[in-house]
Amino acid sequence: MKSSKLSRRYASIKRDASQLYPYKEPLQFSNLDDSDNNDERGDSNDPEQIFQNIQFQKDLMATIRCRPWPMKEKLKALRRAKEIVLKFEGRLTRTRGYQAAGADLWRKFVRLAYNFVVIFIPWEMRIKKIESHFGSGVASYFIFLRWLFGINIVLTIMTGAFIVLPELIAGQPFGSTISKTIPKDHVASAQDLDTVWSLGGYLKYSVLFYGYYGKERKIGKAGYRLPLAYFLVGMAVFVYSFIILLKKMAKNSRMSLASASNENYTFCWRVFCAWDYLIGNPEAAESKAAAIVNSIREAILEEQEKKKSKNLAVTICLRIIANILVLLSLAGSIYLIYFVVDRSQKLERTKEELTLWEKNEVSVVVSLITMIAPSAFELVAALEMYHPRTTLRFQLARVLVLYLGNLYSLIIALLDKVNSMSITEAEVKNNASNWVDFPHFLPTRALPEEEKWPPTIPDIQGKQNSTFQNYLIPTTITNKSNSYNYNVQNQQDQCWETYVGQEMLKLSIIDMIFTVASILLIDFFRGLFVRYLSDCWCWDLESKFPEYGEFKIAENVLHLVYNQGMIWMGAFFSPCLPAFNVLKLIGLMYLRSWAVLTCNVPHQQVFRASRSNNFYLAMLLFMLFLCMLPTIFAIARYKPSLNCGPFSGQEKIYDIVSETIKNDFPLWFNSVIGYISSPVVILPALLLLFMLIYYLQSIARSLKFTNSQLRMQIQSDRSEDKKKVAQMIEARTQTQEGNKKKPQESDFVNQQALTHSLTPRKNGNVVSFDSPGSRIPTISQALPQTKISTPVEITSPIIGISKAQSEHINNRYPYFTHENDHCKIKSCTPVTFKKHLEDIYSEPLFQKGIRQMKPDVVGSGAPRFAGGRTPRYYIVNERESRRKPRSTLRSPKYFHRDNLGDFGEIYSRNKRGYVLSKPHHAYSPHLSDEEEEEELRKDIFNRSFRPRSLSDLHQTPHFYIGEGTESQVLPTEDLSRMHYQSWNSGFEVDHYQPVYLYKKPRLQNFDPEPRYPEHFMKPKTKQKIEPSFIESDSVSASSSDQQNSSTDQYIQVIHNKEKYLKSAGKLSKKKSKSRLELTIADPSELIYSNV
Amino acid sequence: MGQCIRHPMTWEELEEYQALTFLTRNEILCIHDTFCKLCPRGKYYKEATLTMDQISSLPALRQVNPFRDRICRVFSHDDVFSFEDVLGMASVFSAQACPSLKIEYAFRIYADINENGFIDEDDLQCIIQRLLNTTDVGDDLLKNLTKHILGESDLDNDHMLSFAEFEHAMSKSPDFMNSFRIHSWGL
Repeated sequence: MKSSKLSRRYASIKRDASQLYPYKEPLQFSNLDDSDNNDERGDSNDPEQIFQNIQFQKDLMATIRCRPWPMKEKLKALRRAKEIVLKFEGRLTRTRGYQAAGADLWRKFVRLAYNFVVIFIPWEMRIKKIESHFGSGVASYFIFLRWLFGINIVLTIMTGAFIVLPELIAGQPFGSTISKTIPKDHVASAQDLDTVWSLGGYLKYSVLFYGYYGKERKIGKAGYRLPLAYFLVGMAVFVYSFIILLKKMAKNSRMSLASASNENYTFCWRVFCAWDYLIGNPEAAESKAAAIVNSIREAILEEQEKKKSKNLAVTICLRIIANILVLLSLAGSIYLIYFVVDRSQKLERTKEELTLWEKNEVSVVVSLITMIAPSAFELVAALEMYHPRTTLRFQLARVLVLYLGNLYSLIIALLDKVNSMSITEAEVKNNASNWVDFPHFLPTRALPEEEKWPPTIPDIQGKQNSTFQNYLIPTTITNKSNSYNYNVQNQQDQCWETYVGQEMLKLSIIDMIFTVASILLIDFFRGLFVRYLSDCWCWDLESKFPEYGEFKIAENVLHLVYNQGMIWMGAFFSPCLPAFNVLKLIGLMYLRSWAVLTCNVPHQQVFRASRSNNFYLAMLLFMLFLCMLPTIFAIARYKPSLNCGPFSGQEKIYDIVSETIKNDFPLWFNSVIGYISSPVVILPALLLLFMLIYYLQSIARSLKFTNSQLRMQIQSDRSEDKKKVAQMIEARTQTQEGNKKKPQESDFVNQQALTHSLTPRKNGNVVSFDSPGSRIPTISQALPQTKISTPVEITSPIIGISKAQSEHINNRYPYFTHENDHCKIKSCTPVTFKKHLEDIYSEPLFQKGIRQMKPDVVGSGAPRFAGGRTPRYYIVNERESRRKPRSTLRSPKYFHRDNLGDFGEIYSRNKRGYVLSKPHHAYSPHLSDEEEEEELRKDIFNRSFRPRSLSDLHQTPHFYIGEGTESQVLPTEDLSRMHYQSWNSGFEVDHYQPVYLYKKPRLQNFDPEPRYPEHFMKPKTKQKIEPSFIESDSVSASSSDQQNSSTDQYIQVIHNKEKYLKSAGKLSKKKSKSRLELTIADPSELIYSNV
Repeated sequence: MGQCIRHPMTWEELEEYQALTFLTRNEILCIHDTFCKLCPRGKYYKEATLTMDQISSLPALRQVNPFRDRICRVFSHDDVFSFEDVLGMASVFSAQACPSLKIEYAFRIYADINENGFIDEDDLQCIIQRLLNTTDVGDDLLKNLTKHILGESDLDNDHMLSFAEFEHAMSKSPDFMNSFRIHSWGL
């Protein structure tokens, strides 16, 4: 639940983020926090901006778990986000700061509570263990069991707290009234085993059953209304069950809404979802592989059979026969149950002493049928030759019908018996009427009779209580008469509610015994037998006949449903039934899990019952409804027993409510109830309900319509995409021809790079650490190497390095970590600053990628990113413009470089998409620079527009298009200015170079152009100049400083010139340096960069 | 099996890890224990690393999982696992993880058997062979299956599945969230 909420939230945030600041934004935004000098950023005081920023950071914090970044990055981002939020929130307003602190505290508390709650989820470890052995299918049974267990706990608490405990505490003690004493001639046998076993004796006269509860309207000093509570709790059990079931179902269906659509990816799912990652047991894995083979074969066969429909007369005949057989066995089982109940009634009437079998035959027969019939159905199903899945469905439906039939025939037989009991009761009453006045007796008769003589007894209702007193008093007076004894005995025996409760409890107990027995016999002993005798048997026991028991998920779940149905059916008559069921479920959980782990193999036909599947729940709901009916029927139809139970003496059980309302509520309430229950109110209410249903249904229909419309739209979009793809391919082929001239040069460089890749590789390795701790060592390693590399190798070693690095990166993330790649390559290449700073640089980079989008799109007057497809074209444009300055500004070398770039591009084209991960890229430093941006943007899109479609497969092509036109476009002013600036500064810093000569070769290797070294040098110069950085080569220090400054600068950039942000990434680096320079000399430079 | 120095995680670290992953406190501690048991003696757990072999010998992956090498590659850095890498892996496979994250990593696991960033026919065949645990799957079956898979989910007819296509297909699967989970990272 939590995850779903989170993911929803994540999705929405993603949407927001994609509009405002695409993917990697958080990282560089988070840089803000490092800068504490507010004055540098002109508009950082703008509360709106800060607020937005904070909001964004918060979103990031909330969703960071969902980001597919490596942990280190996440950690960094989180820390920054936290700092920034703390800092700025406090600055914004004090109350907000407090709010933030409060929210933080609350979050911590929630997490703590979650941790705490997780500990108390029962059997979590057990279920996980089972899951890891058998996969999620088998575990779903146990999860269902646990859920039922939870429901039963609540039911137990309800009945226990409101019925059983009050009765025990405040009710009249055992033996004080007739209904609470064991009849004299039963006392002797009350403790016999068979009496106890058949729930007679002391058990019968205990809180277990309806009959024990006193009929006093109020008990105890506080005046607890036990009978009312009894009735209300009995109803609340059903209401609660309904609510919780429907809630769960609604939740599930909400979750599985996506899969409810028509689009079916059968094969995809079968392959990509086939492997259950939970499986950790070789045997389970084997059977899983077998199941996968089956399902795949099936799917293909199905697909083929869809086309040709074969109707064989034989199979139809067989199916008809099978269905007839099933119907027969169903009818047989129902008849059998009815017969058994009837027989037991007759026996009870005629025989004095019943044997153990005779007492229990009803429940034994029912349990036997529930055990045997499903296997019989399975045999029959083999005749039908359905598809396994259909077979399973049929099987489940039949078993469900069987269970229901059993329960129903049982309850109907019982109610029949109740009928006959009430007849005898009537006889008893006739006897009793000897002592009672006729008019007093009347009210206890059935309602229709009463209605016949309303005028004769006008005060019937009022006198009801007193009639009972009258009725009882004479009987006690004539205590000694034989007829009385007979009466009392009969009256006590004639408590039909207790009888029904007894039967249900008995059924439940015997069902439990049979379950245990079947687990032991069918699973455990068979397992033992197969395991230990297979060596000395004439055939292979393990793979042929007996085999190991399979865990049949569906049938076992059905059994649970059936069991729960019994509880619902009997809960009203035996308040302790839920409590008993709790114990039963606990036992079942342990026994089953033990059996599954020791002696079961997973079912071959894995019934896919995911948690989002409503199948079980639907069955349970069905069961609940059908089990509620008999109880409600009994409550509404039958008169409560005269001498036992909380409702004794009432006409109907539900009279307790109207009576309470009449007697204990003020008069106005009474009249209100009267109005409400009159047809004047009820009919309109019903009408309203119908209207509401109709309205909701029509809404659902219209939603469905919209859905299909949207689907149509998606499909048409797709076809458009395909067209675009075709166009791109054309364009690609064109540019390819143009580019093919150049590869020779690049080949040369390539070779060089290869020759030199060895030494730098180590370097790259070292460099790729960016944890603070490892920085310093990195440098120390880097230094010697750079020294080694002589100026002769000018171009190649660097390439080598970058190549090595990218290779390196490759290994780590074969595919997704473009960001990292970029950072690294970037740091190696044009930027030329040390790689250690990659994290610093990465942020501006992202920003660049991100920010560029906005102005560009706006500028081109294009529609907003619809579905994330169109923007890619803008990227292309942008690329062009970005290239312009370079082409204009670069020295001749650039040409060469460009060639390299082309080579790389060609490569990338071949490789499509995620080329960056390929080493080839490293050949072309610039290119990689560009590419990484490209990649970045791609990334941004990938992330921000989730439902993106095909076109993002073909991003590289765009790139080519851009490439083709690159040199024709003019540089924009700002960009050129930027470059100038960098040039200048580069020259300016030149005199520092000797000092850091050991570094320089490398830089020059990268790019012999002076402007690159400049970048590299600057931080160093700063170090030199500022006394605070005494350790000359404490690059870590400088780097962190750099970080700060770069971010500051960066922010400025954002605020001041949103439009020119295309180059922000590069610029920010330069600028950061330029800012550092500020301390040195050149304020004009700064102005430049900030304008 | 050495023990790294018993550096209990600080409260803040635990908090952070909980914020960053879908794991509960106990799960993190359990993973920490496992990690400490496996990593070489005398190292601080943040600096210690595990090899891919060590990770793939964990009970959760051992022998059984056909994609264990892929998982190891996807989640490791420089072919070794730091503690945080392991946490990241456990988080993705935890039951609480959000679908988009799981799909993303599932794609990484499936996609790059030949490392081109897409699931193409070779990848598919490789996946199927791994799933069925044999290499002699019938050629017809393989061809048929790849054809069907691409037919239903390859939207742009390039005979490959991109991430978008993969995500589109998987996000509707009723079983994916259930099957793409691993619970026990203990030894």
